[in-house]
Amino acid sequence: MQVAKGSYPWYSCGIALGIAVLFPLLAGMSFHILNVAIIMLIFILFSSAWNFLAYSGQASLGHAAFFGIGGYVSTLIARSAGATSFATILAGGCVAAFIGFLLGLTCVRLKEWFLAMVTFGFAVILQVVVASSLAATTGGWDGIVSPRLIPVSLPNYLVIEYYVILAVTVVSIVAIYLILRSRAGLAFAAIRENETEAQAAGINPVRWKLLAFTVSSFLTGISGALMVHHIGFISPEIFSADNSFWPIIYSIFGGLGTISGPIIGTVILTVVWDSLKEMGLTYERFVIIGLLLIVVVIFLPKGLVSLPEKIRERYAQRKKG
Amino acid sequence: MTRVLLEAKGVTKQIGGLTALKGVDLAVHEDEILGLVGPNGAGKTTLLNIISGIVPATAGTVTFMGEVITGLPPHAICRKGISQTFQLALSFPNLTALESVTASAIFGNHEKKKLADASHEAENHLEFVGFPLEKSETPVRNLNVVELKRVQLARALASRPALLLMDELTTGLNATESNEAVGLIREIRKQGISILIIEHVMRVIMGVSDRIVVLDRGEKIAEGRPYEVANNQRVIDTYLGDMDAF
Ligand SMILES: Nc1ncnc2c1ncn2[C@@H]1O[C@H](COP(=O)(O)OP(=O)(O)O)[C@@H](O)[C@H]1O
Ligand SMILES: [Mg+2]
Repeated sequence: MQVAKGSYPWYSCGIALGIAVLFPLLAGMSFHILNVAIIMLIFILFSSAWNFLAYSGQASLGHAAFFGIGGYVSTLIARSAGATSFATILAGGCVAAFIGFLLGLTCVRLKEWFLAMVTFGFAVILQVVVASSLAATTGGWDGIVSPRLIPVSLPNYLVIEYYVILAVTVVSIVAIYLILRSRAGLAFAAIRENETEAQAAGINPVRWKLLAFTVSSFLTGISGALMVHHIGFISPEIFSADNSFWPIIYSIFGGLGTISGPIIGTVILTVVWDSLKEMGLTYERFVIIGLLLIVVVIFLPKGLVSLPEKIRERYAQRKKG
Repeated sequence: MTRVLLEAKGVTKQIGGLTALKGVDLAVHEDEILGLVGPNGAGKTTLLNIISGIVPATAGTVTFMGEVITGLPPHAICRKGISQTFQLALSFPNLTALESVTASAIFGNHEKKKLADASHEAENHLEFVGFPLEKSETPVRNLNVVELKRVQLARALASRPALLLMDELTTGLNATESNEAVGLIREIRKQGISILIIEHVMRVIMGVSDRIVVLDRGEKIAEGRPYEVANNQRVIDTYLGDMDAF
């Protein structure tokens, strides 16, 4: 289905946004909780960007590439300019978008699995190139300091950082929503559902897939830039497979092809992940998350967002029988 | 005779060692319903897919409104005014019936229009083809064969084609439903749309076509008015082992 109309009632958006806005107060300014929340917001944006690409029927296994490109470009510019700004972050997004566009040009004619492999390979190659060939500028495997998003000298800098990142994430998700509800969203969905029939309806798959690829890379680059400026450091580790897989896991867990899926998936898995660590289950949590994922995929193939619908169906069945 | 709308010349298709089409010539005139018949595997679908650009031809040219369209991608050919319904109607499984047709109303031609206007147009097309409108919001995967075929036809009409290619629209329909389909086909022609229709069932195509082209094993073996073709000895021989097709 196209981005389900009417399934995002304003009050649920309002409540979610309200919680997000009040969160730093509720969290009692705990440094650790605020940090977790900021990283969660960044991954909500990253997952939404990945999911946006998946919406057009394209699966990337190497989105860490664009995450890292955004991070490196913004860091390098910020270092030479002396400070991080919206301009450096935007530049990170734009370079990621441009490289995404070029990679898309070679990829959009490939079928799903080949596309997945090419993107995966691209992230691997990029990691090696950044770590070795470009070591003079990137600091190699040791990495380099990335100027903070908000200078640490400011009072409550972490709270300010939280709100800046929240704003960027919310604006991006609203943009994704508007794009998917427009004619572009219809073209993406048609291509995903049946490429031949989409062509027979006058849709040029190459053009729309490229657009999806470019927008997705742009938003991923932005999220990568936010991440490294939040952490204050960047190394080629940013291109690692973990960073490619988490957005996929979050999106599938929450619900592929929906706006709320990546948000809910990221929030719940982050909370579970961090709580398990707090409980001292540092290694066991991999197994627990893995099991959780398997259970959801088997019983809720459309992700957690489909839970209410599933319960309603069950209830209706019981009433009937 | 009216002007030629579509002309295929020497269309040949090689699939591996098999020659699916051998130098087929065919012309559709303005306001004409041309029937394309032949036993299973004759190459009818392949010819249709070559015209619509989904399958590349090995040799030969297709000209539409005086312009060579061979080699153009299918979406470009659609926007030039040729649309197609598929033998195997799959459509867009997770899109609603209305969305499926709306996509074609928006992207199928060069007119710029708003999503809401396209959606309204799509609804009119669905109504025209007799689709039960209360199912407009149903995902296509939950529709039955007849409803799917109607969505296909509405989708094909929504791009406002000059030429409509229909591949076995009545296959899988019962007698009442195929009579309805024949009525629809006549209605569509009245709107000034020319039609190239493939049918496996001779009875349907005899009644509705102005002219008929018969394919057998990739070759054109007969062409003419329905009664001429029906009485053609070669056609009768070809269909002899397949009498139920009549
Ligand atoms: N993609 C394909 N691969 C191999 N053979 C094919 C393919 N498409 C069609 N054919 C063969 O080409 C011939 C013509 O097929 P088709 O055009 O579907 O016939 P019709 O529609 O008249 O039944 C058949 O022998 C069929 O098996
Ligand atoms: Mg066929």
